[in-house]
Amino acid sequence: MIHAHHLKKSFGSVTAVHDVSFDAPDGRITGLLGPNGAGKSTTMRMLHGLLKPDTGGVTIDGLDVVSDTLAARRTIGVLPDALGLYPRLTAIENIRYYATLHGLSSTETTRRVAELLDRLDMHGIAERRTAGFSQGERMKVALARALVHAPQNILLDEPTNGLDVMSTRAVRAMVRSLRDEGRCVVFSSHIMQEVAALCDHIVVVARGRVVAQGTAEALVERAGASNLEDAFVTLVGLDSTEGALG
Amino acid sequence: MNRSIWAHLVRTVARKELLDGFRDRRALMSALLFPLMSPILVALMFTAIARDQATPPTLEIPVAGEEHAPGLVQFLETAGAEVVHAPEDPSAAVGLGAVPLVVAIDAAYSDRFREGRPAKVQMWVDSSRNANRAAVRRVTRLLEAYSSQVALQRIVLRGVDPQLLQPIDLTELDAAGPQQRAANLLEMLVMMAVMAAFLGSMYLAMDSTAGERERRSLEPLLSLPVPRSALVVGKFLAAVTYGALGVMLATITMVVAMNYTPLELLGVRVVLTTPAALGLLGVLLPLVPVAAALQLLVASGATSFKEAQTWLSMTLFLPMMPGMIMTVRPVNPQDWMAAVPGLAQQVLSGKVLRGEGLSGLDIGLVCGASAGITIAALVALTALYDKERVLKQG
Repeated sequence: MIHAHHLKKSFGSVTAVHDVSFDAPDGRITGLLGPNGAGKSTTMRMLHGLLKPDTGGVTIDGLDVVSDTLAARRTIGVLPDALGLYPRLTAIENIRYYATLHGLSSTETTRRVAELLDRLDMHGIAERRTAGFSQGERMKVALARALVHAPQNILLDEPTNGLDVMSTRAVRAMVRSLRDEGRCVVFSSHIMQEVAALCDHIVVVARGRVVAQGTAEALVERAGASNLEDAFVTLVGLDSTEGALG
Repeated sequence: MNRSIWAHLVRTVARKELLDGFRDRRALMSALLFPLMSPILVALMFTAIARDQATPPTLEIPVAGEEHAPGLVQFLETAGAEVVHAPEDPSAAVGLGAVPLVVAIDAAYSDRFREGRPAKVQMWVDSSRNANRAAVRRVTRLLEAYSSQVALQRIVLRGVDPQLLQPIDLTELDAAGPQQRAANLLEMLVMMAVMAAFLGSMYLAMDSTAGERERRSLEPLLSLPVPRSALVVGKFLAAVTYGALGVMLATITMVVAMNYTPLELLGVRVVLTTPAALGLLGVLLPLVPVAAALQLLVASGATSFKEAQTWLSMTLFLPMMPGMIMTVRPVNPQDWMAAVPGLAQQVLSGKVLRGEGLSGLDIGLVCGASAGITIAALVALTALYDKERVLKQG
């Protein structure tokens, strides 16, 4: 489980995150929803200690991410928005590299890789070098890489970005099954339908602040809107001068 | 963190980078092609110089109007040159490079010669052709020699002491004998081995740092429970392996190539026995970690792969500078030079190649300086990877 409290982060004179707090318990998919530039990726990076918050803090399963970074990181699997794979390594080699760096033994790695190849239906691409993989294939490798050590906590930064329908469904199915295994999943996206379809709990982030959180129904009700899209627009406070892409 | 876990992480990173580099044709080419090719090229140069030294080619002099100057022709032939008929159009033939030069003797030559007046001889040359310079110089010397010989005879006939015509007696002494030239070439060989050390690790250093960031695989890597020091040292070891391979290959090729070069024709005493080759390797290898660590540091500081490439190609000249300077202007080895990477290799390799042994001070300085610089660079590199800005792309 992840507990983030009063996160703040500035880069030079620009404050990307002003004040973000939320809890992501086990067995639940927590969605970070917000327009581009709202501070989702910065928040995600603070969650696993890649960026150090200026104020506030994060604990993962009770471990402080800033002071106990390595121990905290062993309990999380991260899928950053950058899917960088090693193009000269095969899909399996990419996954095994991360498994070894996570400290898995060779037999353990082999067992986990076989399991993930099954679950993500990757047998066709397993032995191929990843140069020239489609976005969907890359996503599967990156996901398998992030999950290879069977982490209790999983951070997914815009995992369905640029995926076709089939790949999107595969990712969603995977995320649901992780939740059903009792893991803590934090999922960030700027696409409402995505978040609405998948997340049990939605944290709406805008301009570096949490502006609302709750279930999809609760958010609609709170915003006095008839659907989530209207609720989102109302909550985020977008108007015609600030497009959703802004 | 437990020491053996740290070592395991370092090995994992190094092994992955080695595999990645091995599959990268550009990394492999820059690491292996240069050390393989360059000593062979230098050996070919050696051989060419040795051949030149041993048998100067017979000089062929195309002469137009040779019937007007039988005395001159006879002089040239006595001097070992071969006088041949010049082509019809000397200007065109020389201009097109068909012949290196043409000596044209004036029709009035014999009359004027007999009357003791300056007889005209023209020489067509093409000053834009470097290859002909030696031939032109030799012919000029021969003609001048003939001219002064005739002048002397005329003066002696008139009862004048010929020494009056020679107010100074100039003797040119060339300090650069064939031995010196060969020694210069040996410095060049060492310079190439030094470059092999830098080229060996360069591409891998670049790809595993600036390349990793550009491929966007750095962020997920930094999200792992791996100390940054383990990442840095793993990448360093992979780069060092490539650099060491390059140096070893260069040394082996060098020794083999030298054994096929007629060094004795140059009067050079170069000892390239197995112990000398090992000594050479021992002098060159301490440069490898310095090169790898500095390259990693420079490439990590660059904002893009392209920028890293630019910086590293520029730093390639640094280790070559001492060698280049010494090729042009040899300096006497001093003890402190062993403490300057690059210069140390040049100075100490010279000692090894001349068959002088290395002193304990030499070995201590070259290894100590290398270790010091390497560790400093790795500490700086780890600090850089601990900063958030390491993720920033330009």
